[in-house]
Amino acid sequence: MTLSELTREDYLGLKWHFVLLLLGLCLVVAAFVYTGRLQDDAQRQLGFARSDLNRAQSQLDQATEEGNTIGNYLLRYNTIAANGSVASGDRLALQERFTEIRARYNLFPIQLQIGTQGAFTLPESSTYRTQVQLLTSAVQVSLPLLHEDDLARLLTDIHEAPDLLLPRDCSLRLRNRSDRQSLDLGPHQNASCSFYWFSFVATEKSP
Amino acid sequence: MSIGGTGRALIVLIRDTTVELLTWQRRRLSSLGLLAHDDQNLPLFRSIVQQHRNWPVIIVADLLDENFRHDTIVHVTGSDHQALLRRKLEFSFRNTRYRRGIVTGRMSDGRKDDRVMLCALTRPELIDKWANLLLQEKMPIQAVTSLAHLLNLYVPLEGLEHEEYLLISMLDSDNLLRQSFVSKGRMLFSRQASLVDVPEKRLGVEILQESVQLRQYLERIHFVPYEKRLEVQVLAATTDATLKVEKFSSESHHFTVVDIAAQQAASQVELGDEVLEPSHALLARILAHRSIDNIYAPPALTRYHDLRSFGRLLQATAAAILLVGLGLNIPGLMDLADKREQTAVLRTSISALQREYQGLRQRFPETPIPAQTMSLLVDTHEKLLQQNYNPVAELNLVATALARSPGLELTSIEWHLREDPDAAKPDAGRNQTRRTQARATPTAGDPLATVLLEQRSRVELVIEGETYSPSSYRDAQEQVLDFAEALAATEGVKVQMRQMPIEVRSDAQVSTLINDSEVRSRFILDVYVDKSASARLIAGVRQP
Repeated sequence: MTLSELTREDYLGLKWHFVLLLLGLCLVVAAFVYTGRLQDDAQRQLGFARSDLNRAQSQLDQATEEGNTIGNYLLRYNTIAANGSVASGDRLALQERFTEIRARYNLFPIQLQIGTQGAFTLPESSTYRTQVQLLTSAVQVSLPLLHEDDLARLLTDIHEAPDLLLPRDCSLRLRNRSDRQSLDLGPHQNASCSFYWFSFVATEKSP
Repeated sequence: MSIGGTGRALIVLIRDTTVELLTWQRRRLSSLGLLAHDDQNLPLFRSIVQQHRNWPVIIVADLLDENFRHDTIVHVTGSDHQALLRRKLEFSFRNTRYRRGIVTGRMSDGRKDDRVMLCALTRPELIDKWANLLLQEKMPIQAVTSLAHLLNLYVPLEGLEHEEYLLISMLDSDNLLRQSFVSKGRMLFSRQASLVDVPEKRLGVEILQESVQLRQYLERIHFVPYEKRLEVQVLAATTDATLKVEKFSSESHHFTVVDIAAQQAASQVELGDEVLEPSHALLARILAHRSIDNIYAPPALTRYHDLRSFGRLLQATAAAILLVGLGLNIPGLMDLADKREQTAVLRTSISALQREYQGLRQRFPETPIPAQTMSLLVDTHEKLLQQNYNPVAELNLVATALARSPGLELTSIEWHLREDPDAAKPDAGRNQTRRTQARATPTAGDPLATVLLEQRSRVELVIEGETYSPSSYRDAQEQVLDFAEALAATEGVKVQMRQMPIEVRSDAQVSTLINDSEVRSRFILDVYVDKSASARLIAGVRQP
């Protein structure tokens, strides 16, 4: 007997068998679909978990690195900050310091010029939440000298000061060379020096 | 041939005068009743059948009118073969639907045609009456076969399948003798002889005569050669002591009487008041070990059995699909379990890491700015601090060198912080980034600030002075050279003479007034101090 020979009555007689077959097929398909979905969900959860683990590990590594950084740098930073290099630059204090130096070494009058301050964001900090700006002012100092040692004392005091006042140019010239005048207690030389006055400010990046 | 016993079945054993209903279940053959071929018995037959509605029915014919013919057909296959057989059967047995053509072998010569056995039950009305009633009751008729065809299943069970010339004779209680010729396990001919009127003491002689007569026919149709001995096995519900046929064994026949009552199969038969027949023993023996195939039933007759088989096939397919589908799902489920376990393990690890992270963070001291920013600030500060040169160091160097040349008077010393052309620049990529960003900053106009950040600075001096000598130009020149030499004696310090008191190079012009006055000439020296030399000089300044 072939399928083509089956009558409607035969099919009706076999309906439960067909239903069973269909049910079996549906069950299998449903099982596959359900298992597939569960697998997809499990895969997604596994992906999330891996990602979270990587993130947690990365956070821990960063924290460890940050801890090391703090251990290495905090004291040095505090020292730098205490020396006034983490500020916008106290111009009054700088003038006071030159006044003190002049008084200490009995120098001739000092011509002091402090230029406008420029700000330069360190490129390495551009990705940080807090950016570091390098503040720069040009400082010009001119003074007549009785002796070149006066300049040496001035420069040594500036050099040993805790803040960042870096000499850029310095010139020392004889005013005149006559023997009579060299015996005078007047200015014999002119000195002119320019400095970079550096300081830092850390600013939160605006959101 | 089907292997494996039959589970349960309703057997309808149709003889010429009676119809016997039997059941086969739990490996026992039981009689339900023996009915005559009478329409009055139909209701009884129906009622018995109705009690076994879902049982498969096997109709076994043991009729005088079962004919066997042997012929040849062209060796073709497929539908052509079926068509040829159908045509042969139509020609030979037109009046019955219970017919069958079976290929028994091939000719060894000529066209090598197929040898076919055409067989049929030629009194279909004996079957139809009961078969139609079974169909009305929608009983699944599994097979219509005959006792002769059942020998094809019986012979291998008895280990007789290698016998080439075997004659199985079944003598029933009515003294009807069915003789079936079997060659190499295949039944090729069967007939029924009536010994009804033969007295018991002559049965052996009659069996011999019937056997001789059949042998002659078989010799004529070339089934048995003249010189071969025919093995005759007589199945009867008695012994040779009664039949006395074994004594007739000769060169042409060898008789063996098998007492079916003594056979193990007989113990599987429960007939009540009825007499044990060879057919019962044969059926019990076969049903216990084999499934009976259909021989004669046309498709219309096996309709309900086919439908049931189809239904079972559907069930089996559904079960197989379920099993295979679920089986195929197992790796997926295992993978799922594995992934979930991995996820759980990862989550546990994450919790541990988070706890460790929190603990670490809590141990951090308070910082005014983020650590990363702090490190950048401090590093940059230190970079710049490393370039905090003290011009006094270079002035000291000049003063020390000047002591070797008392005739020199310096008029000007210029100290400059400049870019060291020999210092390695940062790589192009970083440089590019920095330049790009520097353009947007106020320090972009001051390249020296960038040089400082990149630590590529050095100190340069420009020393101007005059040299004196009371009378000698050479002495004046020598003093400048000594001065320059003294400066360059320090490691890391290079001196270039921009202007000498007297240019003595051959590619320069010399113009001077030679008189009684002292020699006084101007000179300019360029001094380059590298970073390491500056550091050493500064260290010298700091030491008391």
